[in-house]
Amino acid sequence: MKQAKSVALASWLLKHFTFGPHREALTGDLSEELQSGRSPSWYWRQVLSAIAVGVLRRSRDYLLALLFSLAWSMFYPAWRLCLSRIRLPHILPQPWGSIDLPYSTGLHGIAEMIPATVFVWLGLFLYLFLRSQQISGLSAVRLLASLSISLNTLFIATAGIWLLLKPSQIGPGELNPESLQSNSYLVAICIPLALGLFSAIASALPLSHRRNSAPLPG
Amino acid sequence: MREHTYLGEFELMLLLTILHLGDDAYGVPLSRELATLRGRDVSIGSVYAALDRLEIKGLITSSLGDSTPERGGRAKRYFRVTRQGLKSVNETRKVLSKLWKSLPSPKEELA
Repeated sequence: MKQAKSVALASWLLKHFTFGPHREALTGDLSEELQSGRSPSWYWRQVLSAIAVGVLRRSRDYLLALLFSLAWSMFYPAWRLCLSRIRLPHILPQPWGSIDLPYSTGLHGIAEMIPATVFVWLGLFLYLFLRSQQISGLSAVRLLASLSISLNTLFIATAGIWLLLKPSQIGPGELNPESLQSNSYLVAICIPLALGLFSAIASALPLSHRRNSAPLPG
Repeated sequence: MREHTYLGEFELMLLLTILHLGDDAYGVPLSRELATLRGRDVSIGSVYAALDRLEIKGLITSSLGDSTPERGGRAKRYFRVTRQGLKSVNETRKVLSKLWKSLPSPKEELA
């Protein structure tokens, strides 16, 4: 009874802070060892070690995604310049020019968000392609969900940055040669884009990366 | 799938232990056997992390067994080395054997 109480917290931690496909088996193994005479301190050490190993593994996955997101967002100015060369922005807003305020502002904002969203989604597909060896079993539903999450994150982060830096009127939409030389501009466009892409990758990453698991017997 | 799968020291130990244990290769005997062989306690969490990596590489496969009361009703997960895993172990053995043969034996070194 006393032993059960002393490991109850460890068991709770094990249940809530370990990840991966083998969590149930790991919990069962530790229970089996405890029942066979292992001490509560051994159990605690094993639980803390399992949590540390799991967190390190997951953080490594997320760190790579974060670094990729930051690096990809740096290419956004080049992306916008490419789009401006093909004069896409001139084609899109023209029919909306005659619309009265406040609708014209909203439509202008949407038109500015489209290149940013496409850029983030391209980054997601590139990451999934590059990591296709490690990431398997990505369903269409999960992919759609991650695209949707990235869009929401991008929108919220852009709105947040815009509110913070309102006087300078900068954000992913506004781009000109002078603004490209500004560090604050790069920060302002990188943060929402990197957050949008990172949220997409994080939600697309499966909880387990398992392959080749055999079907249950029987 | 990559043509060559490089094995880490711990991964190789795990594969050999799974082969040694045969049909009884699940977490508890695996970690006990490894602890006996290495002469120090093994973290079961690390064992499962390595097993997960091996499974992703396609070198092992797993299946659920029976649940028992001492495990709190949780099923055991048994591991088995795949054909690709066997091939990888054999390739690693060949390379290691060649490397060991290329070195002078401890007796020669002392003399």
